Amino acid sequence: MNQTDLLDDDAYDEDEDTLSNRYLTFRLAEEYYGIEIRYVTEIVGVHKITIVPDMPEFVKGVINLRGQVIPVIDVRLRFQMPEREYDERTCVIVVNMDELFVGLIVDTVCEVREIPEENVSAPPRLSHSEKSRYVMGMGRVGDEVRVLLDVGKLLQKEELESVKELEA
Amino acid sequence: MVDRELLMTFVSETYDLLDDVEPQLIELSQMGDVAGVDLEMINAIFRLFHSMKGSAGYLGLSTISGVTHVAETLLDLFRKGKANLQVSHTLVLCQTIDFLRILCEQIEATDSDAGHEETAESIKIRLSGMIDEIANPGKASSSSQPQTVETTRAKLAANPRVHAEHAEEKPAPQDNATDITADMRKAFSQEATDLLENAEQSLLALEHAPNEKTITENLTEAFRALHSFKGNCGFMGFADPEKLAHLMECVLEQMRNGHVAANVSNVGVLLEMFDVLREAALKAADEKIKICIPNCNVFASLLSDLLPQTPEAVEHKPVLSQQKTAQPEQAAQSVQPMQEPTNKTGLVEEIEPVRSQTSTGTKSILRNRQDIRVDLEKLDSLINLVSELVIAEAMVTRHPHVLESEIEGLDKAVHQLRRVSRDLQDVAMSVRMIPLSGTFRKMIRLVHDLSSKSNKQIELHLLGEDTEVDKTVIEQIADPLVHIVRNAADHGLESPQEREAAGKKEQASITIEGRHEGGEVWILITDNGRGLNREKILAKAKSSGLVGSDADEWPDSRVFRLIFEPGFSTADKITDISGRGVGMDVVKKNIEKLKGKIDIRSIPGKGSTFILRIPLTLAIIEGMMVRVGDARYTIPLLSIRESFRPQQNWLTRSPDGQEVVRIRDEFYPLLRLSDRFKQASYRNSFEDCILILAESDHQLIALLVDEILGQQETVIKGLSHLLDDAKGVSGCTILGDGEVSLILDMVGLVDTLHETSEPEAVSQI
Repeated sequence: MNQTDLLDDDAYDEDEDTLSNRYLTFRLAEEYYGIEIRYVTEIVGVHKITIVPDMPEFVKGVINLRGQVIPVIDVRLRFQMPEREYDERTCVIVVNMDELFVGLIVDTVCEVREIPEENVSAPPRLSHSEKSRYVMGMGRVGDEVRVLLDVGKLLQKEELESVKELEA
Repeated sequence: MVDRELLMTFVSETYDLLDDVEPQLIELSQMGDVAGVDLEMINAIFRLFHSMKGSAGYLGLSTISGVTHVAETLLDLFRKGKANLQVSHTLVLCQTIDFLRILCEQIEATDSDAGHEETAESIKIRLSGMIDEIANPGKASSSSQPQTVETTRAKLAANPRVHAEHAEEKPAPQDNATDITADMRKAFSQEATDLLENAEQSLLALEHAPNEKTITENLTEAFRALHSFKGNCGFMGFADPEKLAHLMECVLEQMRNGHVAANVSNVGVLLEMFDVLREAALKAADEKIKICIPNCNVFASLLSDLLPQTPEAVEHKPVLSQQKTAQPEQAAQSVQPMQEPTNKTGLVEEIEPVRSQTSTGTKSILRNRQDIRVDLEKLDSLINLVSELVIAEAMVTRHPHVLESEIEGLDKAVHQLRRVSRDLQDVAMSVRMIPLSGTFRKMIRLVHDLSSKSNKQIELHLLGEDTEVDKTVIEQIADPLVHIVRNAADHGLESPQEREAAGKKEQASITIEGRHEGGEVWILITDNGRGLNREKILAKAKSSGLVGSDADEWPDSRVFRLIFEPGFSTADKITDISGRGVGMDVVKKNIEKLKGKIDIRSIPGKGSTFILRIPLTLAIIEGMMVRVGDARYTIPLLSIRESFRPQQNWLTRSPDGQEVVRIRDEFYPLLRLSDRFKQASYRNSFEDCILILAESDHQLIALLVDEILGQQETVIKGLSHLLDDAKGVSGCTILGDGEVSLILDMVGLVDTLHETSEPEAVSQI
């Protein structure tokens, strides 16, 4: 898959320092987002997902990643965006957060981009909506903006639970 | 300073030893006066203390070696039958053990056992006080006198790990010697030189010995020094000197028994050997390589010739170092030549390459070493890989092309592959499994303490100690066990007077049992006390607002479960032992971590049983695969009773909306898996489906599925803890085609049934 090649060429062999300002950018609806590349272990297409009961809507279930069973989260649903049928562009970004492996389902993966610190602004704290607290910063890439997400918050169980409570 | 790794090995070994000693000690004290008879056990305890002391001495942990030395001296008195072990002795020895544990913890943190000198002193004084009490002043010193060589040998045979026997000479732990540092080499060299010097002096003194007795004494002296030297060599991994020292020991022993004349020529040979050893010892200090002695075999045969019966001497094969194979290059190292023996030149043709020693060494390793310490992570990755292999194997062997293939031999090969991978899987799974005995035996001390604290006579029975469970389970159940046993002793068991009044045996008992039950490990803690008081629990729960009045109708099991609520305690007063209501909460938390369950059974006046039911986390189960809509689920075969093709008239709906099926005049609640898992069933009618009667903890439930796909070995994989909330699912497995199948958990499914039906029932009232 060409997305994986992208990773190999750009970031895989680099050391931690250079990884820190690099982001994997992906698209959800019309917006572009980024997550720190150091959490990303690989990108795969959508596997057959096995549904797990009693889960919040955005936890789609589990997939088999070469023998490892990992939960997958639909990031659209996580942000309460309308669901979208998966297609051949849909990707699962596998992230590893302190040995917790989770797959993030996104519309499509774009590129690995370096966004220097000076181009990252603090997120505007105007909105108190659920979604905004996963935002780590706003990255400026030329005229465009990448919403940089805090992977840790995205996956933390307490966060998941509080979301669940809100939904209930 | 000593290597940290070595220290840690010492600490973990000491923990093991302490865990070993403690129950034995208490068992001994419970035997009371007959303790004197059970020499075997006292010997075992003595040996354990001795090994500890030896290792501590070698590592320069002076506090530990000091304390263990005194304790050992005391034990020696019991061992020699000079006194019987009494409760007071046990108490102090237990305190000693506790103190040693504290020291170990400190070593873990700071690499040193310094800073507890005062406590150490007070314990030593108490121990010494007892020693003095037992032995009259004249005999008091006898305990520190050397044991006869016979006992030494006997003990060596009994426990090859206790190598160098005598105390003052820093014996060395033989296994687990991982890294030999330069400092250790220096220490070894210095000590070895001293020891050899001593031995030599004793031998030389033989010539001037006035009488038979002094000769024996001198020989024993030399023997002891040599023995320590041998032990040290073993620790350092110096095979050749060890071998020579061993043979010399044999010769000395024979001399003492009078089988070999202690004449000038024989002693001369020995003295020459000392020279050889000394040179080797000196080299050990300043060379980076392992030492080996050229022409070692020649020397060896020289010595063997001195022994009366050569065949027997061969049997006394030296215990060679375990380091040797670990660093095979050492054998190839050349060492500066040593002087040839002068008086037996005919033996030169017997020189063999040193390499042959290595093979002897390997044999002895197999014999001596029963375990190795392995990083858990390595084990886990091994087990993961094996699971992968099993899945891959299923993919191959169940592949349609393979199944239908008519190629000759393929069938056989597939069969072979299947068998081997199954065996491999069994072995891999067993690697992480540890018997419960260690955890159980910790309870001996606890019950002993509780019994004296609460003035209740408590008998502890341990059953099924060999039951093996996963390592993580061992770690998690230790605390719950402690709490339950404490609770049982404090609340469950009555005082002797009460027991007598109730017509029960004065001595109360607690039984801890481990066994495999279905796909789970069950740990049952049973006491024969007064049982749980349903009324008291209910009253308490009501007064604290935990439950409403409807709780009166609850079944016992549900009422009893209230005791796991945080802060819940029916105790009227808080005692030393329990009553704060924290313990049971911990029990529940820990068992939940293991995805286990707790059952309580209790009969008023008869006693109660706590059952900890823990799933075999890494196990492989026999599973039945079923299909519901597009999804395939695995049901543990053990929980399946029967399956049926149902008939429409079996189905009834109770007023609370719960569907019930009638099978042979029995009614079972029905659970449609399609509803539970929100899968669209392909079956249009009830009659087209399959009904599976499954059991969970004596409760039967009828599961409705689309069809049964078959039965297969299932490798259980845990679900990510993000998915902990999934009820009725205990894990998952990967199917031959790579898809994930959830493994159903009957207990969870039954629970969900209760949850969905009960609120409805309430709302209808």
